[in-house]
Amino acid sequence: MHILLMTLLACGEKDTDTALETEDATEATEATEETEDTAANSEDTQTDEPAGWSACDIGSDATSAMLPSSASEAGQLTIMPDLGDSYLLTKEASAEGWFVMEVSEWMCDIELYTQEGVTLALETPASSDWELGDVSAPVAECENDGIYRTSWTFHAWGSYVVHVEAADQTDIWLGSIMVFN
Amino acid sequence: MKPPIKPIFGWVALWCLTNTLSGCAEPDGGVSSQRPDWLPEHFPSLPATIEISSQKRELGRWLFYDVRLSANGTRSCGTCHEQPKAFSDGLVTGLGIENSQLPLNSLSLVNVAWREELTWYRQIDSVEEHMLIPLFADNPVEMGMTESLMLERLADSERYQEWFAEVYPTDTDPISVENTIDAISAFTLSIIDGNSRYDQWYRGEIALSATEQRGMALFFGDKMQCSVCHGGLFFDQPQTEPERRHGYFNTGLYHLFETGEYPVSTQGLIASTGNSEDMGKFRVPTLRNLSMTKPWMHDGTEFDLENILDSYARGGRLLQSGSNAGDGSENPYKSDLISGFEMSLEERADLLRFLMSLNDDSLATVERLQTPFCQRRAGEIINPPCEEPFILE
Repeated sequence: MHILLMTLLACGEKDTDTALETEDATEATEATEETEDTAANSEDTQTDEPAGWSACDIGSDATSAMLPSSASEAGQLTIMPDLGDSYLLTKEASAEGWFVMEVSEWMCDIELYTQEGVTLALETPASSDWELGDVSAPVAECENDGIYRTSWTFHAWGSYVVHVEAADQTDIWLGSIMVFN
Repeated sequence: MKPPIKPIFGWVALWCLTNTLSGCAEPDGGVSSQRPDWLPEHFPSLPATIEISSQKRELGRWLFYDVRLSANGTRSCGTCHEQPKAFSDGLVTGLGIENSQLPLNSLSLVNVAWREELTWYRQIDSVEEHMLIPLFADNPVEMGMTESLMLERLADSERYQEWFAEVYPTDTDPISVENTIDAISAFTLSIIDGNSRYDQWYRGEIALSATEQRGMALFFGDKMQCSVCHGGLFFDQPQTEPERRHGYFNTGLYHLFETGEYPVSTQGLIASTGNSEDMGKFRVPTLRNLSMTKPWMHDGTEFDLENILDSYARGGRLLQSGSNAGDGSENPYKSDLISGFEMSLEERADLLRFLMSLNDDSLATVERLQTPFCQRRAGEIINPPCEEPFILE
């Protein structure tokens, strides 16, 4: 049985520094090149998914990896949500797994997509000035696939341990996508 | 090993007695000083090779935090060496300008003035030499800069034109790659901090708690021998290397294929020497400011200090699952110093409390080290007074 897990990043620039928007990386960044002025655009949070991306289609071109089965071993698997990347994660028989998510941008809304029955939670305590909203809900457009979305908001880049609970499921599809504000 | 014996006289007093002609407690004026006024009194003088004038240091501070020193304007030195994180970045491994993952965890820059090995294993001993890597390296790309682009951007700034001319008055072309690196180096070497609870105790200003004292005794004691590797005032001086300020050790983090291999992404000193005995050997990092430099280890794979201590207690890290599963205690290249020890939960708690006494929470707000550029949160400036950031046109 497979678990579908997908990440969606809706990121901005470094709010607490002087970072400017990249000019050359992806179509997502090209769509936001007008956001060079950090101050003027820091409160704009329009999320724009790249063309062709769908939360319902998250199992293609997956990279295989083993999912560590304890929090202390999570550091072996680091996943940086990126444009269109996807993973097939193999979990041991236990109902739990852990990985590290490296958030590479500032002011990010990160959305993880997974199958029904899979619970995702951040284990790394957030510092007091970081606002983390935790929302989990089914994705309406993928109703037939039973895909759920879990999302958080990060104010700064950093590394976070993600706890995966998925009873009776040993293979996890992890897709990732990055969308700039 | 015994706990350190505090000097009867402060470092300043001792230093003044023996160096009266060199300007003890000399204010940080326009001329270099081996004991600038911001140097903690119990720290040794700056190495003789380091000259830091206040003008150069201030120019270096601006350059350190200026994003125009990266090709696409997304990174400055201070982006990956953040002051609130003790000048590390909080990431597993560093990220280049296009968010490409770098192979190693970003090291803290605090107190590098006395460090001889500035990287995890590359055997680079000068900040100036090391700076060429993040600025100009193309594999992997970090800041993606070229010399011509950097000089072009700096020359476009009237502020920098005037400033470089003031700091390097005898140069025909003061805005040069050499001078830029020299100025950033001056600031980097001035990132010095020594006001943790341990430092305050060392200076005789406070008493450590009973828990911290028990932890200190364990740290310096024969049972755990932590200080054999993490020795000295900066907790990064191997006592096994008395002639050097650094040493490389395999601490048994991995044991791939039951051959002792480390993950191919980064295998340590062997990459520099080609000597198989150097598999998995990395420099001893400082233990100061641990709470700000998470995650830990050369590859940022540790998020839990208790787990790290448990691994040392068992003589190497045991990974029971994941792609790098293996028992590091059986690594044939592991240092003999990582032989394990008995540790109760109470002892572990005491040791952790002592390690936390090495944190300096005030480091995040030391004004002379702060970015001069405005930072915003939710649109509001959080570090006034400040200058608006440079914008790439």
